[in-house]
Amino acid sequence: MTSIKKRSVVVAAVATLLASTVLVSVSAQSANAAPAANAAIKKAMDTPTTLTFWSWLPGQQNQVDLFTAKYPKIKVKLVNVGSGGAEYSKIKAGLAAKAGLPDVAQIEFQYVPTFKVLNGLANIAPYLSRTWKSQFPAWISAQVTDSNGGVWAVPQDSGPMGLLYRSDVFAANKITPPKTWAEFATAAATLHKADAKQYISNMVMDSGNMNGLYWQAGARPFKMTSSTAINIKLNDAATKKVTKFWGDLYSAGNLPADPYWTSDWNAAFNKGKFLSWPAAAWGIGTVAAAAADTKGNWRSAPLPTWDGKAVSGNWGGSTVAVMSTSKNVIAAAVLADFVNTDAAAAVSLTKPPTGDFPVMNTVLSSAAFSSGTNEFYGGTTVQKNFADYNATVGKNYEWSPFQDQVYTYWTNDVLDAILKKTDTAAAVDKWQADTVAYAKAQGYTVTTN
Amino acid sequence: MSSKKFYMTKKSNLLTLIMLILSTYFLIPLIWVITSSTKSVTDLFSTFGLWFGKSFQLWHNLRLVFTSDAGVYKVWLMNSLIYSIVGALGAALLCTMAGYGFSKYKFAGSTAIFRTVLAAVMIPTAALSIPTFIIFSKLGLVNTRWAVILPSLISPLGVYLMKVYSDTSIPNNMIEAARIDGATEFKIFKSISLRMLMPGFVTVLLLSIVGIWNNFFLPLIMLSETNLQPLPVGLFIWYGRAYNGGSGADPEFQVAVIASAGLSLIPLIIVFLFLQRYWENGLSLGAVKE
Amino acid sequence: MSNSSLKSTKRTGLFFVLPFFLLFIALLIFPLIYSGYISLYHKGLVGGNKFVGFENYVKMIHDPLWLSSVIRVALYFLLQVPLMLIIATFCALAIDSGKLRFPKFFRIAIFIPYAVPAVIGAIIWSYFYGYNYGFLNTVLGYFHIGKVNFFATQLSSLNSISALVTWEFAGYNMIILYAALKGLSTELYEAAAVDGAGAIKTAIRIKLPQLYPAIFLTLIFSIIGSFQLFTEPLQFQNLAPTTFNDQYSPNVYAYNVAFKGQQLNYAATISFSLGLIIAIVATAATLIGSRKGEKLI
Repeated sequence: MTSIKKRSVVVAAVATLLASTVLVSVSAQSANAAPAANAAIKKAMDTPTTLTFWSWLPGQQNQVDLFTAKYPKIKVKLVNVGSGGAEYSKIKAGLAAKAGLPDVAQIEFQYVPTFKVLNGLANIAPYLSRTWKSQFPAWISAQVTDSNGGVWAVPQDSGPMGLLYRSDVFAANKITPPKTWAEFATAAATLHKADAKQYISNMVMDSGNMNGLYWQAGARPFKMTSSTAINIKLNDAATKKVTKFWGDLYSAGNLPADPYWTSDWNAAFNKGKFLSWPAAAWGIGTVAAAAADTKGNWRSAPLPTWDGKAVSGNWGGSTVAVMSTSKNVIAAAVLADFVNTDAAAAVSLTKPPTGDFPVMNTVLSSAAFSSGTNEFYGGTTVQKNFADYNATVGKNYEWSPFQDQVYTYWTNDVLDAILKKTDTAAAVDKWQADTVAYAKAQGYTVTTN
Repeated sequence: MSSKKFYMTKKSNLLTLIMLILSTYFLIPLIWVITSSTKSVTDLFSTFGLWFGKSFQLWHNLRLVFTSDAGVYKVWLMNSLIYSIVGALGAALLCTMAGYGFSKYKFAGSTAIFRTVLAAVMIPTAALSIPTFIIFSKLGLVNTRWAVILPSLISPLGVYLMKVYSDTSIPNNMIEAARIDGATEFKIFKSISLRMLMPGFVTVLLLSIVGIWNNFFLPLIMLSETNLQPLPVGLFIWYGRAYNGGSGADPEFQVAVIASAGLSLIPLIIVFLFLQRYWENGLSLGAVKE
Repeated sequence: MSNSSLKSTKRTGLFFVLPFFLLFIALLIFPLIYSGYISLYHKGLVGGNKFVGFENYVKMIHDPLWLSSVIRVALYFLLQVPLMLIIATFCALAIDSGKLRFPKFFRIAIFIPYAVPAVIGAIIWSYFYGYNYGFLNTVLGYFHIGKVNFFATQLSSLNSISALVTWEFAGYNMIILYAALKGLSTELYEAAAVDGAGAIKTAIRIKLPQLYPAIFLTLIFSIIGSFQLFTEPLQFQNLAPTTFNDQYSPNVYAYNVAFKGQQLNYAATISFSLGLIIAIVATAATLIGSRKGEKLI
């Protein structure tokens, strides 16, 4: 952060700086938060408080119940105001109006920078233990922290990607799970040729899904070089390669263009129209819920690779963040942390009805998690498989502070071109140009290296 | 009327048939929502849309509607009723007073003001939602009930309807007579005119109730707290939950969305059936100027 | 109105009008002016609020996304409104003709969808339009007709939305027209009947011309309504994200610009312009549609 302009950012930075010096000075005595912070936390947790918590996570109440059992003075009002975009629009409207915001909110990884730049998030670093970061894989904690020691959200789950596929249909067509994308393309043609009603998968119509595949291929489109300067490189070779790959598959007629998340889309898994899905870990549950009739026939494999080297991408995953407008930041921070990192809470997140893919190292490496089998996936250890893919997720991925807009342009420019079967490289260039123009209009200094 | 009766006696089967075909277009979606409210998710996609499915699980679906999210559906229903009734009563009263004022009194600028109000019929309310949101956010009104009620109090069309209604239904000499008897202007309005204006009042009330009950854009942006939302916004969120992917997706929830959609139609359909004559009486005013 | 009342009641008149008028200023005129005012400013994610004059308008005119949204609603208006008004007029005339059996049933059947909130209407119709397992394609399947993608192109999506909105609003317009028909004097019919004119002839030759002002009124309301298209495309976005994009209609665009793109000033510009466009189109329609010496509104 070389040219800090906004006062609130300065304040936040100073607070962070103070907090981190305090932390450093006491680190010798205690691995936990500073004594001053500890006293403040203790006081906050003993004061009767009501916190509002927005989350669309099924079963989140279970973790909240664990929290209120430990901190009986704190009441938590858990509200589902809609998933993803529906909730974000409400938070943005609330930030513009400075009204109607919760204390704590579920926010996906890719939107943490967006809400940070809108001054919507509180830095909770002062209320966390010094070793807090090391509880997560490094690439996960990197998603919610900044170089000044600020912590803007607590990771809840992640979405390392793998391939979910119908082993019965694959076997019947003498296809082994594709190791490379070239094999995937061949399998796509074989399967559709064998039966015109079946496709290897749907066209990747979802911006987040495609972004995970770009991530896998090595795209690193954004880098904040200061709080007001950003490097944007959406049109790199990797992105163009992936886009062309899917565009070609679609043009050849080997993929249908079914929009995601519709009732039709769910039914297509059940009725054998889609035979695989390059999905995130949470897709394990999505397919199981959608395709009950095909129980036992699904398996998982690593994502096909581009060059034989095992690399995965990530799609989605959530965090829990404290809103800057909260009047009870300390209690809110403890809640956000507790529901995700408390030992019992973290384990319960991975259990039904939630079924999150864990971000805590302790859970990821636990015997209970890796030995867990899933009947829908033929009794295989599908979660352990994804834990393996998780270890291969490409590092150092940064999001833009206006990711909504980036995805809107992707749909307008790139997806539209694929579906219209026009030049995908030109479409990716337009995506870049639109995003750069937007960033400039928002006042950013933009570089495109 | 005798001659009207004369050709009313000869009914046309062809016309009836054409209308029957046309009305299937209007009724099929309603039949669909009734039958689908009783189905399981599997039946929803595998059984015929206009008949009941293999399993009849209306009660299960309704229980889902009323128990999901700690019974928030009841709260939404209540909110919709509050917004519609308070907003519509306020709007109807304001429109009746203003329409009466424009009709029976001449005051400085009354013509200019009336023309302005009339021109405002052309201003789309949805286009005002975002600026109103910004203004309300500065006044601290966002995320309060007032944010929905206040804008719905203003109905330029209602003022126009009530002016026309006052023009035609209250004779000026009746007001004059009351004045000669020594009644104050407000008393004349309260005890004589208001009663004669009642049919028009009810029409504006109905128009406003429907308008507010169906309003989506304004409450969508004004209210972030679930407990303040009216039904359409609530159902929009539930709809999103049933279909949007990610960790929050719950395809099973579709049946709750459909059942709650069906359920939400009942109050307004009752209002429609019972107050139907007011539609025709009142709307003829706007349409035909004597 | 007599002169005596004119004098003594000046203030009283204002008293009746004032409560409405104050709220009218505060909640309609002021937001309108305010949106015009903030449309002259620009505030980015970084950097402060600054006066930019008409820059937002220049940007808007050169914004292909905005232009596409306006063209789309204009096209939608042309597709949807005439058909809806023809159906409404036909139904009103049919019910009024006296030749129809069960007229009350038809009146209610056609009117009732108006009671369905747009959000719920869109939920229902989203199940009708589903490609693989939607109701309409299932029915077409019974007749061995291939599947139709109702949202394949912008044009077919407009048709699909038109069918939904016509379903919702034809009854409302029908009731306005039917009410107008009931208000017509019956003497003319009687004369026609004496002349031996049938019900069809009476409807076309005598009733329809007299219905003109009422039809016109419904047209004006439909202009205002169709240019404000919002709920249906927002709800259908899941079903066809590239078709129902973030700039499907000016209102959808303004909403996304405001709450996705964080550009409240630009959103206000779009809202303000939309109000202006509707006012211009509606006024133009009024001027064109007004017959000599007759004021329609």
